[in-house]
Amino acid sequence: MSMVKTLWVLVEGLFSKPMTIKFPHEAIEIPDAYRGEHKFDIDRCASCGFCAEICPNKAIEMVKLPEQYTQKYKKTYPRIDLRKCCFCALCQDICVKKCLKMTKNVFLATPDPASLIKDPMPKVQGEE
Amino acid sequence: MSGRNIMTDQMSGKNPTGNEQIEPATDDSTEYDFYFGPAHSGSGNFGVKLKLDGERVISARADPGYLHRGFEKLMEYRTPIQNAVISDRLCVLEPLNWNLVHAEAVDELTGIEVPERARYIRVLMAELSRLQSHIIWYGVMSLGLGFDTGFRLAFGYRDYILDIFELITGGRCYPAGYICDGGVRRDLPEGYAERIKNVLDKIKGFMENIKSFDNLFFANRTKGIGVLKLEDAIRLGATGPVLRASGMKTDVRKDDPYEIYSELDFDVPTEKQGDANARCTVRDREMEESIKIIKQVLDRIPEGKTRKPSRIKRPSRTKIPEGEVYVRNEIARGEACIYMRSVGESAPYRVKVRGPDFLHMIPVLEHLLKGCELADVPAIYWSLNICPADMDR
Repeated sequence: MSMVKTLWVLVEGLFSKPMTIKFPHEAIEIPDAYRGEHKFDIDRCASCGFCAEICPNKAIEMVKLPEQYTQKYKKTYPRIDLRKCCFCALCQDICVKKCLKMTKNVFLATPDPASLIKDPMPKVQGEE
Repeated sequence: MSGRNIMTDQMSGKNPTGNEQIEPATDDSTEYDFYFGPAHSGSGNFGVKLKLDGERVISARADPGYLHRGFEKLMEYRTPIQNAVISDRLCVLEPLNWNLVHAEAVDELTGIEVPERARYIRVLMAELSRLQSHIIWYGVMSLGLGFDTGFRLAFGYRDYILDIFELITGGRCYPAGYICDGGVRRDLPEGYAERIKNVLDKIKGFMENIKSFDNLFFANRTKGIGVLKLEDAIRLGATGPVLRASGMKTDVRKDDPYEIYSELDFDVPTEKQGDANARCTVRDREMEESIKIIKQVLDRIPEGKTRKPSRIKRPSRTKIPEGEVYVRNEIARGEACIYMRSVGESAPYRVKVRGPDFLHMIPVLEHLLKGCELADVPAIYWSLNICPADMDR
């Protein structure tokens, strides 16, 4: 009897769908609430520094922008070090102006670790 | 087991863990030391030093500390909401249950009344976490017994529950303090109930497949192996499923109910034999009870707020009232406790974490391994469902 059951499981296994998918050709859908890479909207930022204060890993630092931007953006803005970040989204939850948001981007692997430091403004070409 | 390297080290008199010197074996001796872990796929970041005579274990000595990360100290420098994020990492296999223990400790200190909806969500997530933890246990138990298919099957089904965690908390393994002081961090998304019910149907199918622990593969390897008598279990401080498998009907959810457990209808499965098979059967039946609880919660969950206060406070504006608390919860592995003391500052003065595995992995394991066969070591080890993360913490 147990042999019949074993054979039945084998036959069933041959015709059932696999549990895995062929990544990267296809991928499972990532839900909206996912905590991926941050997206920062500098024009809405109030420079309150709450995000830097609440970050449990001290991955956020409030910094001044390079000189070419200081005329428009005079205050300090969050610079996020994704190498230290644990993607807890406390910065997103505490943000008063809702200018820091976690996106669905999970593709953060890179051969250049320095690129994981996210400046408030994208760096201009040739800048240090 | 990394036998070859150990033998090479033994020849040179070098100890792989560096604790104490191993005596080189003499030609006429059949006794030798053998390391089970800590860098072994079947032991999970934890080492046991076995003294063998041929194939028989003469004595076992647990070697803790490999996974120590210093959570208790880290928590003394952070506010409760930041500590909620850290509490995930106390045990990788059931972070939401540890979230809940931490949140309850802070709630008791602050005296905040958690909204009704949040209490239901907390229990829902804790039971889903227990379910997936038991599925992982089935996987590693199968791996330990040489049944590789069981391991793959279990981890495949576990991912269905991780999909639910991802939908609700935003992360698959780590919920980032989803259950925090005052409630939960965000409300349930639309269509959650249907998704959870679909997953539960799949898990039931999985449980049908693994159902019989009396089958040839499990019974031969687990029956009569690693028998823990009730008086020994009590003496050595066993809790949870390990104690229940030895015959004591005890469960914090029933004995000292927290959240909404007193309103729910569920049984506490027990067995009398106290062997590895009994521990497996208890966990199998516990999975059914967890499904029963989740269904009740889904039917009764009320509308309302999910956190009080709804906004997260800045660390500089946070104050924990002075006092001390000790809370205990029933998690998948046994009794999880947190002692917290506050002196009225933004961070707790002292946090002491007492995981269920501290006693299961040192006195209970050493007691059970003494006198067994080497081939039974993985069966006994995994029948305790141990997690080095919450022991070393």
